Amino acid sequence: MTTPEQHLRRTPLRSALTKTGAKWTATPAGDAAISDGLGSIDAARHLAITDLSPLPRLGFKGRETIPAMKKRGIVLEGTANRAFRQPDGGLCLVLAASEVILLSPLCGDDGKLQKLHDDWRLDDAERTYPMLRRDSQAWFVVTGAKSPEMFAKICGIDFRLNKFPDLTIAQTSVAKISAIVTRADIGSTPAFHILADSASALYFFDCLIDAAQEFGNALACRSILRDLESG
Amino acid sequence: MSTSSPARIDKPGFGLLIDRTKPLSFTFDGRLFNGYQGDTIASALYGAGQVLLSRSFKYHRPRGALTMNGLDANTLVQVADEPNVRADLHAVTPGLAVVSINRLGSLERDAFSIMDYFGRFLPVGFYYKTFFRPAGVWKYFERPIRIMAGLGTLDPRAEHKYYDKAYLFTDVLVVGGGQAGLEAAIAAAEGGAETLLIEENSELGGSLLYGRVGDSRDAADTLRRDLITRARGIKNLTILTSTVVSGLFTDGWAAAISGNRLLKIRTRQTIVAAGSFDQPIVFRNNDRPGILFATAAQRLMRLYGVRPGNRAVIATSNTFGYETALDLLDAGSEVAAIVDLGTTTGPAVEAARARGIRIVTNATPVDAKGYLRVESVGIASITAQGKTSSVTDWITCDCVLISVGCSPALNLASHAGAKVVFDPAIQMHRAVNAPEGVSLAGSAAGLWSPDRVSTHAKETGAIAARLAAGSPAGSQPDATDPGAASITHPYPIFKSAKGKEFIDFDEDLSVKDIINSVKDGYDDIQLVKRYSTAGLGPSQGRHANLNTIRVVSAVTGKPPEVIGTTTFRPPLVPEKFAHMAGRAFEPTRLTSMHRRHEELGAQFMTAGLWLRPAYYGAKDNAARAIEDEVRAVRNNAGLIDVSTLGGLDIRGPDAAAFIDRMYTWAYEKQPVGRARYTLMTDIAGVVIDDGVACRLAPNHYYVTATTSAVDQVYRAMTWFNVQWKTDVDVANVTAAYSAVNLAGPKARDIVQSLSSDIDFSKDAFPYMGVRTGTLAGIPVRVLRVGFVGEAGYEIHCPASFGEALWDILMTAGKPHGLKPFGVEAQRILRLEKGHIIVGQDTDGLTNPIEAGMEWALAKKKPFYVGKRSIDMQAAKGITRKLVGFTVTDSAAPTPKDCHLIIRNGAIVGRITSVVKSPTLGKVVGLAYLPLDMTETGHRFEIRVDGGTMVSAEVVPTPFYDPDNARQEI
Amino acid sequence: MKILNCPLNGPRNISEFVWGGEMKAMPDPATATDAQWTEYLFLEDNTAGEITEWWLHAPTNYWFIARRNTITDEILETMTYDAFLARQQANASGEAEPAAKPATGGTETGATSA
Repeated sequence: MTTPEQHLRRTPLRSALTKTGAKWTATPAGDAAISDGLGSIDAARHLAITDLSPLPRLGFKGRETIPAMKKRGIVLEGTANRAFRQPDGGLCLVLAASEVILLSPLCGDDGKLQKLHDDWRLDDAERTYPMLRRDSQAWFVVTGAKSPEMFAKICGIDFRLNKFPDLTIAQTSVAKISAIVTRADIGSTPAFHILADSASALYFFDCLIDAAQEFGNALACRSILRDLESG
Repeated sequence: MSTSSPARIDKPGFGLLIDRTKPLSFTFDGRLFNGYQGDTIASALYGAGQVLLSRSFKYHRPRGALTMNGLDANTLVQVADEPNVRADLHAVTPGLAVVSINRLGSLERDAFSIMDYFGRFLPVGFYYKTFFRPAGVWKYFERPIRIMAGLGTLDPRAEHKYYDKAYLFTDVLVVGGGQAGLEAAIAAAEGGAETLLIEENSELGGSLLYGRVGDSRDAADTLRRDLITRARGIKNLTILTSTVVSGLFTDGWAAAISGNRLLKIRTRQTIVAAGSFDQPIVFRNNDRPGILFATAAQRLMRLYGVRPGNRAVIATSNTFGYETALDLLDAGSEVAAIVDLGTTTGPAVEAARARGIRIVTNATPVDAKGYLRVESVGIASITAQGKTSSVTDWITCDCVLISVGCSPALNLASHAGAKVVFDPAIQMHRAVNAPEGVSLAGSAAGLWSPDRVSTHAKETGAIAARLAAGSPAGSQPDATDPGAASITHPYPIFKSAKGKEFIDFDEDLSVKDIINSVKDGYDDIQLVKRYSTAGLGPSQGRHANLNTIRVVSAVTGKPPEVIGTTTFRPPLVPEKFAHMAGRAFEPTRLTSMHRRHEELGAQFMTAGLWLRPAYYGAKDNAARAIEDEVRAVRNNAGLIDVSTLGGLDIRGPDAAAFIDRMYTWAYEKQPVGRARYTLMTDIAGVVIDDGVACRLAPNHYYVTATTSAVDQVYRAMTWFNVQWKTDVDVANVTAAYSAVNLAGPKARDIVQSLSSDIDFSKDAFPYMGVRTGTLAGIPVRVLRVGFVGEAGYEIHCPASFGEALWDILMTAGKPHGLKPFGVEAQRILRLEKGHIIVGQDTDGLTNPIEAGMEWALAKKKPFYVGKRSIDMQAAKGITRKLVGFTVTDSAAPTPKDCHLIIRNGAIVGRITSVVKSPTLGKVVGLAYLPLDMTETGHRFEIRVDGGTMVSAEVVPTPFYDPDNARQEI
Repeated sequence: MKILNCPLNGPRNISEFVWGGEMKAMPDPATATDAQWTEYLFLEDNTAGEITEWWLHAPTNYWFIARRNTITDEILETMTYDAFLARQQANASGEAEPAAKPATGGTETGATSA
């Protein structure tokens, strides 16, 4: 057990989640607190919203980004708007031929992304540049069979499961803010990862909760998603 | 509770939608009425003997149900705080309080019905002709006229209700759940397309719910049940009932209303099978309650088990009228006569004859008696088109049922771009040249015979499925139907010498009104509509357009196909503002430190989407709070959250060259570790943004931009770089970084009390220096800039550390008297220093020379955005300049932003910023003045609120610390 | 709601896009006369017919080119700026037009703001 304020890094949702009864545990890397004790597997399979903002993620951008990532052992291709699962369970989102975002696995990455960031040198003159995605964007996951129906209330993209297959990305507008929506199922459960402006995180969280109302309005947490992953 | 009523039919085959075991009661104008679960307001009232529902818009004539399908304005009622509810669609529920509208006193004795006698004084164009002279007279008439003419009552205290919107995606959309819609939807779904069928009513079936197929009610019912069973059994066919498609647009985009939700539908193919609208006979008093369409009578009987009357007269020109007569007999009503406008033939005619009904051919109703309900109808022989003999017979009756043809529901096809043309062969309109992705089926497509409807709809559905899948359409279905020619009478209009033969029930327009419109010179159908208001009412001309066209045709001698038609526009049905507004999405951006501001009692102001602390403390003590914040910065230290400031990372070998092209000053030679002011102009040389450029490395600049402009700046930078192809990467990192400005004489003491790898001493980190490192364990970019004019540090950190940074600095600053300050104090502090704010001290035309920013223009650079235009302006010379001023009379009222500078009675300039400076004890500000007024010491007059003139004098800036000694300590 | 086909993101509601103005070549600021420069700044052709425009996909800040018929408001085609340049060059040298092909992001940063 910990509290968000014991860490220098904090999720913008800490008070909103605490109000809903969230408990807090340290992230695997130990640099922030992440919500815990919310939701159930059944809810997560039906429809649930999880805040993964405290988990590591990192972007790279620049015209040589794809080869630069390959050189670093990231599994990816140059196709825009496709996601690639990494051997450690993380994700690489290819937004364009010039831009990727790397998401930590649910189990945490033990500083791997931080090392990628720290090892990068401007002087190397490699045309790829790190982006602080952990700070610029909140990270939500919407899981469950009802996700497409919920999204239809806040986004103009057709997210029906047979039309928006696993590992597809839409960079679009959700509830009037720009967002990157990636379908990357967890175990056999449909899962949509949303990266959206961290400054709008509270507003966006309210929109998700409101849209989820008619489907039971459930929150979940990282440990529930990890249960989905294994079962 | 007893609900037995003589109007209810207790026989099998009647009352499909009602549950006779569930009686309920409700009120109408305060009187208690009984109905059944499944009734609409209108059916329950009719079933309880209350045929009168409303008063008409203009003449306040009594009105009753006309279509029983939500298509007319007669059934508009008020339900609690909701005005203009369609009583024939709205379900009745226990205790529902329904009130009639558009009346003074009771519905039965509406005092406004006196208007009916003034009809000849209210000719078409009355308002245009009457109230424009003498000038101003309208304002005396408007209020009483509005009170008399209004529909429904808005309740400003109405409870807020939740409305929202949702997208729906489908391959094929079928509008209308009648025979054609069901057949088409089944075929499309069986063809593999994901299909969405939308039906406005609560039950599928359309006319199969109440009508007959080949004279047989059983055949219709069997066909309906069979189609529904098949449709419900198909997995990829989704059915939405009680949902109405209100608009159809380009690229397969449709709007639909389902309860409190507006559906935004995206489809590949749309099949409009929306049926058709009944058309009335135009004869004197044709609007009396109890005169309704035959289909409305069938709906009353079959859906709600309500007899439309005990003794009916049927006026018809097709077999549907005869079929209705058979229904009435089956329901136990008497049919006094069938008045046939022609000589209809067919099995239903034979059946009616066989059952002994009196049939009068080549005749029509021409007048009706009875006021609150029809009591008898006068019939006459038709002698020529629109001409009759005098009344040959008055037939006593309590209802008159009309079936003389239809007008296809082409609205949606027309919204999407189809052309609507008149087809003389069937005396109805057709949609032609439907845009790609839109097709029609059923009576909307001009097909009426059930077997033809079936074949055509199936093929249409199959084609839509193929097209949705990207396959070739194949051959088009045969869209002809010989049976369609005998549906619609060509001219069921019988003008009366005594008038009151209504062509538009919503607007109380008679034949004379249309004729007079043409005579007044408005002879084009579009002009007739606007001048006469025909078709402008709530039913949008569904029952008026065709007869209006016929009358214009008769008056002008041009055939209907030449007259054309008016344009259908969305929405097809009334939409509520609540549906449009729906669940509003209004993003708000909060900085990472927002919680702390709340805890400190901040009053917030908006800056774009952001919320920023204006000041800290109670609203009633604002001026004092702001002054205290200013003093804290000047005397000790202040901390302001500047996270909303825009941030851009420019990285790559061409970074300096790129910035040189984007901004007006020179950056190539800027040393690493230094910040430099940036000024951005657009291509026309207008000032659009400013900030600082920090050179963090030879190939890396961190550039700040103003809160409101950063998105535009980022767009402009990327737009230019798509074309320039310089070797840089431009990233908008505004949300990635939080920032504070720690300013004041104690600022250095505070940062030096924290652990850091940055040397904050004056020599190591001079004014306009930039450092990166860590501060109390937080990664930071620190800028020494002087917006507020004191020694200070702008500390930027990754946003997720923002709150911790705020906490650490507030704790460290406590012993030094550190106070948080807001935007209001910052505006004063910067104005004391004479710094401009782009957008406040500049406008949409300001060039840098006028703004006194010539020093920030690199004259030797070959190019920057805006350079060419600024050079032109410099050569041409400017006419105004931004200067500092102070008010000379300390007792004078303080001017405000945008107060005007007056010389010899003329406006010559304006104030852009002004404040009573707590530090200097006087009023200082910035203003644009003509060049001949800008020298130091020049005196001028400002006109303040109330017209008082205040004297002011031009003074140099900065007003405070002119040598800039304090910020560079 | 019309649909616009973004070379990077595919067909999207047009509300996701920002109009960037009709494409027009900037005269060389060093040699243009004042009259030429003023015309470039303030005068538009206002063509009734086919025009070439800049459009921005706002969520990705991605700039591209669209050809549109201003009479029918039909969007005729969209392409990356590079594809547009290639076509212009091909036209200038009299070669056959290369077909506009979907972009993989091009050389410019199609990045979501961070």
